[in-house]
Amino acid sequence: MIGPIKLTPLYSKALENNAHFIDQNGWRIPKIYSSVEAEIAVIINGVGLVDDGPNGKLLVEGLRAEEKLQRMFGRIPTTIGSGIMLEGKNLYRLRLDRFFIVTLPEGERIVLERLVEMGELFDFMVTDITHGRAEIRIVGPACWDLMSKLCGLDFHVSMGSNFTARQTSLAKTAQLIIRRDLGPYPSFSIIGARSLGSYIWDTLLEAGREWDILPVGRAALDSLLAS
Amino acid sequence: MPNNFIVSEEASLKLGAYRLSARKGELIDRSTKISFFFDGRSYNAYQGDSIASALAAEGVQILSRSFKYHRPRGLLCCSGHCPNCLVQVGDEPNVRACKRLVKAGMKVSPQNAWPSLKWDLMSLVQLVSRLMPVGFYYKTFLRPRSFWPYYEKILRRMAGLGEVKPNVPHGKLDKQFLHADVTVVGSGPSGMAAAMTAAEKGARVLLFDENLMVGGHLRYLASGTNESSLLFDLRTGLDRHPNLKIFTETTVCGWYQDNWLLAVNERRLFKIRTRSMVIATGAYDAPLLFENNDLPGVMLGGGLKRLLHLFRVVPGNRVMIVTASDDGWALAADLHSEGVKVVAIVDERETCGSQNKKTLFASGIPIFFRHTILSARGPGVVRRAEIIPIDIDGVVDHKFSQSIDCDLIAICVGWTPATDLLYMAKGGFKKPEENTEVVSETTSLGIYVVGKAAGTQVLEAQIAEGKLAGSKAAAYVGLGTAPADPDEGFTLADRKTTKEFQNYVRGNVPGKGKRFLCFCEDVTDQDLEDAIEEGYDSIELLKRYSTISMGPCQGKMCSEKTIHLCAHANGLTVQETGKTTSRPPIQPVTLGSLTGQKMEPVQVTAVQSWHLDNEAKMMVAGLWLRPEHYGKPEAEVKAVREGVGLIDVSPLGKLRLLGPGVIRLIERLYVNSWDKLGLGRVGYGVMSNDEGVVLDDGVCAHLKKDEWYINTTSTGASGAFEWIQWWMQSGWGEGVLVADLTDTFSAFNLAGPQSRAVLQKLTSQDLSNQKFPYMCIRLVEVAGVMCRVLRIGFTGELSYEIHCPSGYAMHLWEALMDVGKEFRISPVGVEAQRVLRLEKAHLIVGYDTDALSDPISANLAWTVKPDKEDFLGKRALVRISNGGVKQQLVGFRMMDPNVVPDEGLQIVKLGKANRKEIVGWISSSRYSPTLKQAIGLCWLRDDIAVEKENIINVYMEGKLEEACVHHGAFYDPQGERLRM
Repeated sequence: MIGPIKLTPLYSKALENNAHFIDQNGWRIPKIYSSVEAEIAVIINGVGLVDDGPNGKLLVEGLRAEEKLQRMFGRIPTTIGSGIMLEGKNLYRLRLDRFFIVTLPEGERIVLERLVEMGELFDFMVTDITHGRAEIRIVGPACWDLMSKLCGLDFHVSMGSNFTARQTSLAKTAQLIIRRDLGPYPSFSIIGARSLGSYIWDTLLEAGREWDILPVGRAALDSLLAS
Repeated sequence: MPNNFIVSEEASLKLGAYRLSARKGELIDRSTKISFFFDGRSYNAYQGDSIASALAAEGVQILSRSFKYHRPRGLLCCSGHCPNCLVQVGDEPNVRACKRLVKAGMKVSPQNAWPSLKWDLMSLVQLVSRLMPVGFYYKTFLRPRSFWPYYEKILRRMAGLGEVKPNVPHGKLDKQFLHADVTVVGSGPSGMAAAMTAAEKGARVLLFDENLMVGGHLRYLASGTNESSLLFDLRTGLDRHPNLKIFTETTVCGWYQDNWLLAVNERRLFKIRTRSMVIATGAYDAPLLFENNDLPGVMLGGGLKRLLHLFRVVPGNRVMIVTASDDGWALAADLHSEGVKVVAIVDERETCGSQNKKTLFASGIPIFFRHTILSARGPGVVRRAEIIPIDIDGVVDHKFSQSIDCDLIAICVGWTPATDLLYMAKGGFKKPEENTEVVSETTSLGIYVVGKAAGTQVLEAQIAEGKLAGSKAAAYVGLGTAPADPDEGFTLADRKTTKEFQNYVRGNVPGKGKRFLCFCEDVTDQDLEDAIEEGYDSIELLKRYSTISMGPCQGKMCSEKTIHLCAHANGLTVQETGKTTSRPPIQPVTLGSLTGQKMEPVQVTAVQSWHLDNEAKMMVAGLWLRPEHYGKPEAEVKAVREGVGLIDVSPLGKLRLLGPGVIRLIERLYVNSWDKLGLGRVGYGVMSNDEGVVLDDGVCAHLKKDEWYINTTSTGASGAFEWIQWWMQSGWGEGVLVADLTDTFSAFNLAGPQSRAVLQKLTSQDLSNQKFPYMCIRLVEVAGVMCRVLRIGFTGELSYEIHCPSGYAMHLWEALMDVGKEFRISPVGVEAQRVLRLEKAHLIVGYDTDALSDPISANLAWTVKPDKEDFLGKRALVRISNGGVKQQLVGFRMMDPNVVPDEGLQIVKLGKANRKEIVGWISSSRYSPTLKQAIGLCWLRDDIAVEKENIINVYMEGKLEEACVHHGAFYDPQGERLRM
């Protein structure tokens, strides 16, 4: 049975930008904003803005989190701020006792169930924060400069390699930033409170004007990934 | 689209009588001619002209009026440092005409002049300048004290430059963070060499320059020289290096602790974190003190060189060079070779070693060694100059003065190292010899000063010094090893201190009349001497008293000369006199730059768009945007009391606490007792700090064994989360993990007697009072979404607070509104919610309480359980409980039911002779449409609060309005409607 459709925190922003939507994995997501060609071009030449809200997001915490994740996945990131790619998901270490898992949309359910089965309660807690976080991805060569307008991190040093994660302040709000390149195109995911999603979206659009920033839909991303 | 301001080639325009023929390296594009306006008149310019160069080419000599005496001022430094060319461009005040490029149709107007630049009425002030000595403002406007408001109005009108128009749209300015291993400030030969060397060592290098392009003084050397090819080589190297990023037209104007730099350009403010820094900021042309040294037509030599070589303009036909260094001779040679008539070279020295000496002697230009300028003469602009012999001790002989006709005087008497940044970075200076310029030195690790900023005048030495500093800076950040100073027969230090390379700086000046030391504030050398005589003899006091160096140039034109004069007057050395403190910014920065892109975080709920679509009036509550009402708050109250209403309460804080230690933790955090709260039950709790002050309140639900779901106030959510974490990390949270679910769950309060019927339509679960009683929590599938539903009642009616995953929030809200139609459901905003809770006399933490309110006084004594084990605030609350409270939060009803007193009004008691004694204040008040009565909550002195129906007086707009004390809820005091 198909349940109700879920909306990302940026649904109303997508409406404002005349997005055409598709329903995928229980989420309504923007497929195209302007045109696939224009959206691909902005990723290649400037910077594009993607609503990645549907991705599953789990927070795993506690002194035994490392042990449980090791048992479940066989390997875990060892240093704080580093991440590894697993099948259908990425695992990041935010603290000695705190991990963050990003899954494909709806993928969080299975991971959550398996982790809960391992027994919560004693120094181990899994929280599904998929609905509680906005995830905005910026993609394109100008994303380094765009980030430097909003965040004080030295990205070349702190996030020099793919799959690194930093909890930091961005545009005066607390955000988790993950470097997640899209093939040859540099990319950062900005993950923060759902209620601040619209504000971050607008702030990025304003800051990215000098690179002709555009919202990018799923079709353009899929096309780029396919190529 | 045709541009009316682009001048066609065919138009017979005269693009400046003072413009020279084209030359390689000029910044102007002679193929594009444009027109613009200055002071209401149209002028022509080439693309690439600055406002100043275009006006100078057209023979405009007066650009502005001075600050105090309104004296006419013309181009002086042409490098963006002095205040003489400040103009208003459109709506933008205080633009430096020598830096801003002309745009077609640009409207430029002069500042500080009325009714016109040529005839400025305020210039009459000069006639009474004797009555306005230094410190005039401090002395004059002190008395009588009562006159100050009138003085202030006049002074404010006279002060300031330019016009800020309040309705001008904000510019698009923003900020950027930059990081570097090495930051080089200044791109002259030494700066370029330092940047290149550091980049080659593998350092990430940022190179800043305030000018349009890199090159420093190499940009305005005669073409075809070795230097111009050197510049080409250096520039090419810089442009190609991947480790190097160049920012031109950007001024680094502040250094802060740990090498944090501030830089600005017209569009952006940069916050730079650098590990090492090379200061290659060059030097400012030093002005000379002589009578009428501010007369339009007196220019600094460097400024004239820029005009000559970059814009091909010489704003005069008969140029006199006043010099004390070989730079003046080089300028004279440049002018002579361009066919400009040089009427005299006046050199304070006995002789010169310039390579141009022979040519200039042969040219027949009159040369006066051991002479200096005594005065410039007008009228209005320079027409002639008086020169006079001067001996080695600076003594002049007036008997031998002579007059020389000229219309442009170029001053080349030395350099003031641009050390503002260095001084901020705790650098210092030393003075090798009297009558020479100071030599900067750095004392901070990782900061290097090179080139003219360090007193190095010789090009080869500047480049060698830059390379050395680049290597050292790279080594400082771990790239390579620090090299030793090169041994080339004489060290770099020798080069700058060898007498042949020093500039001669005169300490005191002969002559009389107005000799301006500070062009920004119109301070003369006489003013300075007067101030010192009055006792302001320390350099810092002198600055504050005379306002010298406090204008737009920030001391670039006057600081060093002031130190010299202060030292001379006090009989001290320059080093003994010291310097004033350099503080950022070293040049004016607009408030817009400091503000940058507007970034005011605002939180919205998942159904924000529904609120907007349904014409909600939004209000700000903390960081949240919430619907205040949807048009008729009274109707919304009625809907809840008689039917059903739906309130978006998503901002409520929601925390999950998990672990075997949860119950111990919350027992300590709350003043309540929780050990008897069964599974699936909900309780109201109050959090206080260790002083017994109410911090937050909300409901706590016992979800499972060792798992609790805690709700906090909307605005207190993040504070409560941090508070809990703080105590957990302090040892109370053993075995507990806490997660903030505020954004994960949206929350809607379905309230009113029909709420059960509405909710029942969306679920198959039994919602009856028996199955789902008051103060319980259940997992309920509502409209296909699994929700946490809490049966609680802030509004005083049967109600369900439905917490659903936020992705489903819109679906659920619309489903509830849809099925509620048959019950005439209404969305309810914050305003109605406040009325509803007031009818129940429920307080709002932070609204009815403040930083001194304890739960006992706030009518929450029933929540405090002093008998339980230790909890936050226990000692304080036991003490309050035993000692009694001084005031209480109680309800009140107005005797006139239609009079609603404002919140915050005082409650008074009438004493003898109708004297009013304050006995309390109103924290909340509203008109209750249910009770048809104005009601509220107030803090009252305990003895008055304790008696029901006690009559109190609210002091409103000078009148007393009677009210009576009310205990308990105004509406449904037994709470029967909650338990229906």
